[in-house]
Amino acid sequence: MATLYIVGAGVYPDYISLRGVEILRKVARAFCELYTSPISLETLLKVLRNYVEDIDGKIEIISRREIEDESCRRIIEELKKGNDVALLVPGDPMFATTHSAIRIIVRKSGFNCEIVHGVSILNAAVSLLGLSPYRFGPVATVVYPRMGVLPERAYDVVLHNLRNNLHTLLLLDIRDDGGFMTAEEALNILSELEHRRREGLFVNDRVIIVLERVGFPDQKVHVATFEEARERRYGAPPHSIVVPSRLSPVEQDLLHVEFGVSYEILEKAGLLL
Amino acid sequence: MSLRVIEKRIDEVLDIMRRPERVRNIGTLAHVDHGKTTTTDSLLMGAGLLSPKVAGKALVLDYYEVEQLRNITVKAANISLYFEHEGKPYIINLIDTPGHIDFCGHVARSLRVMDGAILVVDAVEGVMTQTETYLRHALEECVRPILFINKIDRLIKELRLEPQEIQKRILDIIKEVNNLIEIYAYPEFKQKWKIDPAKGQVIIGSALHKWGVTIPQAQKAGLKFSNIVDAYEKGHVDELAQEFPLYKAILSSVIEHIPCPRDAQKYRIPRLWRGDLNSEIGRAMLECDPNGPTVMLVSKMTKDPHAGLVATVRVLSGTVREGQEVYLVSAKRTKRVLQVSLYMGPTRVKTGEIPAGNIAALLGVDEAQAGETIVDVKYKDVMVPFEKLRYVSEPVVTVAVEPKNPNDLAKLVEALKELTVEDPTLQVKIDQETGQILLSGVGFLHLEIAAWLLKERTKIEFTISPPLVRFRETCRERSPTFEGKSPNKHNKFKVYVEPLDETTIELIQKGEIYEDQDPRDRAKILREQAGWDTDEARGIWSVDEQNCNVLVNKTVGVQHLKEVRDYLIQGFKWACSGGPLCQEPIRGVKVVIVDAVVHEDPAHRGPAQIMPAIKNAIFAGLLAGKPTLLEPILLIEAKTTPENIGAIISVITKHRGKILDMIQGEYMVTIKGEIPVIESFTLSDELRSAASGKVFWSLQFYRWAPVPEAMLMDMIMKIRERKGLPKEIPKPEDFCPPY
Repeated sequence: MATLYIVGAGVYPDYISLRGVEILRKVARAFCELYTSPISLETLLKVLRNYVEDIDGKIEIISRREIEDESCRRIIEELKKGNDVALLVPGDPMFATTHSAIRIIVRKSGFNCEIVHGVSILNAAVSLLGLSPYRFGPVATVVYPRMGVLPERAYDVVLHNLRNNLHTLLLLDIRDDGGFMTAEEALNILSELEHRRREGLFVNDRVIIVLERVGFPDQKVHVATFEEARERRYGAPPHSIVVPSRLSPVEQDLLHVEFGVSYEILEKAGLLL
Repeated sequence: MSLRVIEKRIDEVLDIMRRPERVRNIGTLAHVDHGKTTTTDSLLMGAGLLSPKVAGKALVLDYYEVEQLRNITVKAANISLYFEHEGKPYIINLIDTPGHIDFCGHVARSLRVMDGAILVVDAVEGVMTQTETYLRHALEECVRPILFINKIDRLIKELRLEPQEIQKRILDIIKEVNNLIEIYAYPEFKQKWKIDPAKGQVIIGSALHKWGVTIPQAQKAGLKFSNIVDAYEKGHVDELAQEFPLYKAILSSVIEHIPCPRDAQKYRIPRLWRGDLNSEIGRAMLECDPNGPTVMLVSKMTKDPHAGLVATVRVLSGTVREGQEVYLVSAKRTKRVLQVSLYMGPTRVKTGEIPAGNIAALLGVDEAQAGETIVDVKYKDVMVPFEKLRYVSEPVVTVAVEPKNPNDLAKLVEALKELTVEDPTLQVKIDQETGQILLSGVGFLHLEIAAWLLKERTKIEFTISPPLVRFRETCRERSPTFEGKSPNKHNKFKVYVEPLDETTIELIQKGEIYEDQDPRDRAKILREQAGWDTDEARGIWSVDEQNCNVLVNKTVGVQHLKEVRDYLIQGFKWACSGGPLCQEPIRGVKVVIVDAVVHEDPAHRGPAQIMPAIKNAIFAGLLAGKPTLLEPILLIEAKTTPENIGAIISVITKHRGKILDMIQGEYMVTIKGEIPVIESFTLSDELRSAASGKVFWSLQFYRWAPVPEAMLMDMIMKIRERKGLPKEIPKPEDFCPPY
């Protein structure tokens, strides 16, 4: 029976696993989804060519529209012919962009589906900062207002996490035209939410961490107070934001040695455990 | 041709305006060709043109200027007339009312700002459909009528009636009008507002020949019907006009029988306004208090090529002043009044302020639409807007407008959008796929007039496609429950649809059930009048006022549902704007959400996910709920001579029409019937030839009715083909696949 391999390409293409490479070599036809990452097909192929010689001849882009509105028609057709197919997706198949719908369709259509893990922003951000994964609460996305509605979910999640002494990873929205929200925009939105809610989350001396291009060759980490962070300028997306809760001694030390964060500002922000 | 010019200083005029007992706000209402324009003209020419007095400069008008002034004035949103009655000066605001029933959206808005109406009826034709429609609207808006029976000369010259026959004809018309008052007036006015010729509430005359007289005036002067017949037969009509000028008869009757603004507002405000009458605003409006909070009602928005958008308003309380900050209640905008003027003849004259009870022209409130309530900004949070104006007619006919030179497209669209500001019963839409400009209105004539206006204003050459009739899609039974999924499959909505009951549809049409209503008030009305279950009625999330659909939330305890409520409402309205059968608007459907799953993260539940999810479920439901098309049906009323009855009836029935009623009059027979709009294209020619020209008729929108079953599929396929849609009608599974 034909199998669909959903292969996580990782936060940057060179994070793809050996298993992923093996599968790409083996299958006759592969698709890649690019709408959840700013990585271009060119960059992706440049990396993959080193490992899969004939990648150019067998990989095709699959649009968001085809995945969401057309139930991956081309993938199902290929499986029906009895051929294995690979679907290459940024990050990990089942994390930030959950491709569970594809998995269900493929399964319900009577085919096999195998997940090949990749490095998601969810674990990359955590391990880059050295924050304890045991002390993270739920993730939330900072989104643009749409049709006059500004969702407050990100605010609710951070509030809930801080009350429970948990860190929060905030992902940033994708624009309707395919662009990515920048940290500058996200901080403005958080500030607007603070203005509406006034529960003291995004105020001047709150320490936040802005992550720039995690896993990319030019990744950067900014630890700053909310006020400073709003004044800084950031490079190209993707960006994410971490709102730390109180830090354990190990976490404090790692932030200090890795990113030069002074214990003083952490103390001032009441983040020392 | 002469025109009197009455010069008054602004402060003299304002002095009169500050005394509500010296002000009247009126308009004329008439069936097409019964003489509205000649009547207005006659009032204007007789009473004289009010003009600002400029020291040392006499205003002399030559013939050409007079003609120009007349043309402009007759089309103006309002004309303020100056008239002296029993030695006292009065200001009479003559508010423009649209001449054709196609504009009845306009009629309702004009009626709102006037307290009385001159109902003009042709002596030969008598009360016609539009006479009845206008009178009904007027009575619903608490506007008191007086009657002008016009074209008495036709009774003499065409029908050659004897004096006693003329008298009988007049009494018959009065009786007919009084019957309508009995039917349509609010209970407290049924008796009081009946038209009494003995009190001078009826003027008989001829607007064309400029004479008119009330019964008391005639009795006082010893004028008999035989004298009038004589005057026509012996050619003394001019003397009649000299001795009994029409404007004097009408304007005296207006002053004596139409209440002044202060008296009128005492009973009109409680009828037309839902706010608390004991509040500061309520009391000020009841008293027409010029020192109270400023409250105004917009009757019309017009485009002035130099000044921009001009709002014609009735000041209900307080005094509107230049520079004042005001709040537009429906548009939810704060604006500054840039200019306050008075309509003096054809021009607006800056006055700086206008007190309660009067009609003013404002600049600076561009976002207002006709029907808007404007208040002093201090009262923005407490003002209850006036009832929504009722638009009985619906846009049912569409034409495509195409500029001959494609470069004119943007200019044309801009001008069309301005037209829709002035007349919200017009709609402009740009077809996303074909780029066509689609203009919809309530009838062919409506669109023709709009096209004419467009050409006048833009001077752009354009073509108009043959009219297309708009249909509606609906369901005839309750559908099974369908699960609509978002494209990412993380959000699901279980939905069924069912036909909305007629009473509820009517309540929405009448504006008694509306979108921004307090849910408890709405539930109460629906429970008491339409038999709704209270919980279901309280669960109404949205009322699609345009197409009469409602969205009901019946779910319990679904997490995050509230956060996507706005997107669901938008998706519901999106679905209703074009259904699955052939992308015609959905009408008369209740959409019920019974269960839902919503993703916790907003990135996975944006409008791009939620709107298609609910739309798909609605479409699947509609297709499984015994769907059908509704077609617009016109009400036709034809008056003809008895020998032509058979011929007229056969024209109507040949076009899938039905005869509803037939009334035998003295000289004419009135045939009332209904006929589908798509069958009405050649009606004019056929009726005329069937009755050898001896027929008057009028058409107006009547109702939506299901297309006959035998024609249904054919009709759907024709529309799909025209729109370039696939040849097969979609199935419910196409919108809600099994997985």
